[in-house]
Amino acid sequence: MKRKSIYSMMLGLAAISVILFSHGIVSYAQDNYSNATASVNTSILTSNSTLANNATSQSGNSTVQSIDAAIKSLNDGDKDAAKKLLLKAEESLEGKSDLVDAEKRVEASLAALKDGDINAAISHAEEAKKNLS
Amino acid sequence: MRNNKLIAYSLTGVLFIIGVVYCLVANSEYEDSKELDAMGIKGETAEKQFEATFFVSAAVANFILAALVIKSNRNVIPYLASAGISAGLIAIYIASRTVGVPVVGVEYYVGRLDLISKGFQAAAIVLSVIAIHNIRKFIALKEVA
Repeated sequence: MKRKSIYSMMLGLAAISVILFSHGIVSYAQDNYSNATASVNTSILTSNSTLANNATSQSGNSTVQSIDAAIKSLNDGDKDAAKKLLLKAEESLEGKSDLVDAEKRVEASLAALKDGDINAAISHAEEAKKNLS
Repeated sequence: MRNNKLIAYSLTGVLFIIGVVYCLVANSEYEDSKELDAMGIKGETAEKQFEATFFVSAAVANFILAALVIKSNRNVIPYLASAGISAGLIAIYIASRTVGVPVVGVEYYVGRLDLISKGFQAAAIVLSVIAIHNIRKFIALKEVA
């Protein structure tokens, strides 16, 4: 009886984890679909208009500015400001398939900042900037 | 066999700690996903949710293994499962920091909790291998006697 209840409890836990896991995959798939649609729309727009090209380059510049400001905040010890600026950079890099490496570096910088490893946060932010230039 | 009891208790403790570490990592990923969702960064929010789900699953698997190891009586299967799952989780981690893994891609940061969990997973593999060796030796001796 005792063994039976342990097995049923374990089955329950496994079922919960499967549900959570599948939910994660489904939501990722949904977001991937909308991201793919958004990127297709973006590519059509950029190929048709030079104005859009200028906008992209301006957004790239603003991302570099955000990262630069974040590095400055990190050097000054202002973690909250650095986090906000890195999140802003992350937001501007969202969905840009050609800048995935820079986005991953910004994420790494945020993770290091959360861990309290300021030097790693700065070095990853610098790498993100290099990937953008 | 007394030695093996000690190994079983140690392995149970190690697996329980790994489970707790994964719970902490999952909680951290969940907090991040909430923050990113509030900012409207959808793609990254979904990635964080996926990671949180994966870490919860890994934590549950480790808690189940801990329960199976403590209940095992000269049965090698829970030890084989512990070594296999720990090795698999280490392999996934190394892949995520080098060649990349599906959904998440390549991650560049190696965190403190990551290193702690990998250390304990290596310990779980070593303890499992010793336990399997001891059980097989005990069975062989019993057959001879």
